Amino acid sequence: MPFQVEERAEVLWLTLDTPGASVNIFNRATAAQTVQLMRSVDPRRVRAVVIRTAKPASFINGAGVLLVTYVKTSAEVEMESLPYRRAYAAVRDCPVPTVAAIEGNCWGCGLEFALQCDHRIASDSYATQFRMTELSDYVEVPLLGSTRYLPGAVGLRRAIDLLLWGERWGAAQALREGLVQEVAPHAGFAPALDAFVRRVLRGEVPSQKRTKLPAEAGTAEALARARARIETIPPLYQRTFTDTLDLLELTSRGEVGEEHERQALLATTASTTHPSAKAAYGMFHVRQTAATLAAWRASAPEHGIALGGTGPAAVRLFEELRARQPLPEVRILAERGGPGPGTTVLVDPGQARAPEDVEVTPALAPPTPGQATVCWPLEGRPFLELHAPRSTRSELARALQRAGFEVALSGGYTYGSHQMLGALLAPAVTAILAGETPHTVDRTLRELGMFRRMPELIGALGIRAAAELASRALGAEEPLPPPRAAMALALLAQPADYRQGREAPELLEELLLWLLMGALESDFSHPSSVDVAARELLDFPVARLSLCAYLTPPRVRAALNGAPRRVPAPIRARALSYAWALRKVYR
Amino acid sequence: MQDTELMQMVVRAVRESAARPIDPMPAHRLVDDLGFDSLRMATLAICLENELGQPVLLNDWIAAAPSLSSLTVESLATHMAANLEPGI
Repeated sequence: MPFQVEERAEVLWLTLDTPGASVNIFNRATAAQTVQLMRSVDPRRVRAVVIRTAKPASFINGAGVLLVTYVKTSAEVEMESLPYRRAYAAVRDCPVPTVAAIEGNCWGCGLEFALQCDHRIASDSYATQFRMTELSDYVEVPLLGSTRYLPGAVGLRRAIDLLLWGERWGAAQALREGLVQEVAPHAGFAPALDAFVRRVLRGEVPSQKRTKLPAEAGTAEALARARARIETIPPLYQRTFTDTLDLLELTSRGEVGEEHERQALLATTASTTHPSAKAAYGMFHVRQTAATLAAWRASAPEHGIALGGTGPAAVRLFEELRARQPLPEVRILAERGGPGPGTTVLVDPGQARAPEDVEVTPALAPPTPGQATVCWPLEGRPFLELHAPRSTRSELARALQRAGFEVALSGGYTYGSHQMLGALLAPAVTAILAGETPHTVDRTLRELGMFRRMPELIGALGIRAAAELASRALGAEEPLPPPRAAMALALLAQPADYRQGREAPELLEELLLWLLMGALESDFSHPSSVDVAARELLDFPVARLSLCAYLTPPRVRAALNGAPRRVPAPIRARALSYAWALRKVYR
Repeated sequence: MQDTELMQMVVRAVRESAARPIDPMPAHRLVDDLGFDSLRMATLAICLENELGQPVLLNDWIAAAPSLSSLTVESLATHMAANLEPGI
């Protein structure tokens, strides 16, 4: 059974441990047991129910995305979601106070589950993250209560940030925002939870369960700002975002009854049955493949692994890993010289060898031949490239995954991440040098489905690095001195307005040919790594499944016909051979 | 590739990717009978890739199913047969 059940000192302790899975999934079996357990609560014997996890890195990660893939009608959505809605309602209607004891990821329907509870307490570890994944990862309207109850917990403005704009909150921020009532250190979470529950039993902690919004100025302005922002996002996402915002607006007017439920069901049906959601599920699968390969393909080493490096890139990664403590796999045992050159982080260091075992390379440097290296191409994003020619770094990949990074494997002579970034930057630069405006580039990227566009990407990379990567991508065939690329990138780094740009289908085709080149020629070890890199670094849209799946031979042939003549000959030749071989990347 | 050969390959991949020891049969339903979830499907795709030597995505097979119960070992073999390239 998914829940382990224990009744102790007038409290029912429910510990979720999804069998056979590394994370907790609120699946049908969990839903059925939840209803049964809530019905069995006898207030004469039990004065509170605590829901906690047996997996310290996962409170609840999801509800099982397989469901989303085949529902095709409103009736199916209603029928398939019914067990979940009943389970969530049963928690909400529980006759005694309910406590969500949140350790680890509290994502999507996990957060919606916690919102059904009277009280929320969270463990202060990096693994504890609050995030609504429905829109950002699956392009679907959430159904299990967030549009109804999140504004009551954190206010409308912050609910919009979580739901629509994909903010991730750690435990401390969740406390500041009012999403949880208490935060306790990871190491002392169990006694802190006991103490919290005793206070709940004494009636000293008010219930967080409310549907009415707290008094908040500027509700109308917040809604108007969100609607204006929705206009700037790619059209293929707009309906789902608008429908979600409409539901939040209903809540802001206090309409959280049957009409809200009816509209939520309609909106969820429209989104989950849309091809975008089906495609987004495919991207979930691609991510899982990349993650499984990174942690699985290589054999486990006989010894621990030391991660070393000098210079700012290494130091920032080490700082990041330090901030993500306490994760058992990422322990900092020894530091030489403290933060700065010479800092050493030891990973799983029981019998670690020399600290140069795996090296973090400086931002633009290539991998060291014959040496396992790590590249963090865009700091701030959860994507790391592990260049592992000897394929013996599985423990490190697992440790980095547990620390919240998406890890892609590569081999060869350069980093696939640098190639992919260059493949987006180079055509944008050549377009500007050919007389296009940044507004047109922005409009084209919006058309392709990119949320984050050039100013954000260049801002994250810096103009010098972006110019270097664009110049490398153009290579010997079309040499472009970095200073000239930098001039174009300085223009592209300025805020752009897609409305002022012209419609440029040929630029879209040009971008696709470059991205195909990046995908086919990159040194990543597997197409799923290419796809995760395209998603995390370039923001290639989940609504188009994945870059490799999107670039089918017919689409590439159309791009060859429509792209401008300035596309370099080697790229055309490579695209031509791919398109006429009629062989998709994925079977 | 012959149908029986393909079925054997699919059975091997399903067996290898399952969370517990199983003996898959063509009529077995992956979700209902064999306990597969979305995470386990990724492992299955990798096992199929190891057999075929080409990356595999299973989302088309899953999305085309009328219900989760339709995801059987046999339907997977049929899907793979339809997507095999000539000569493999």
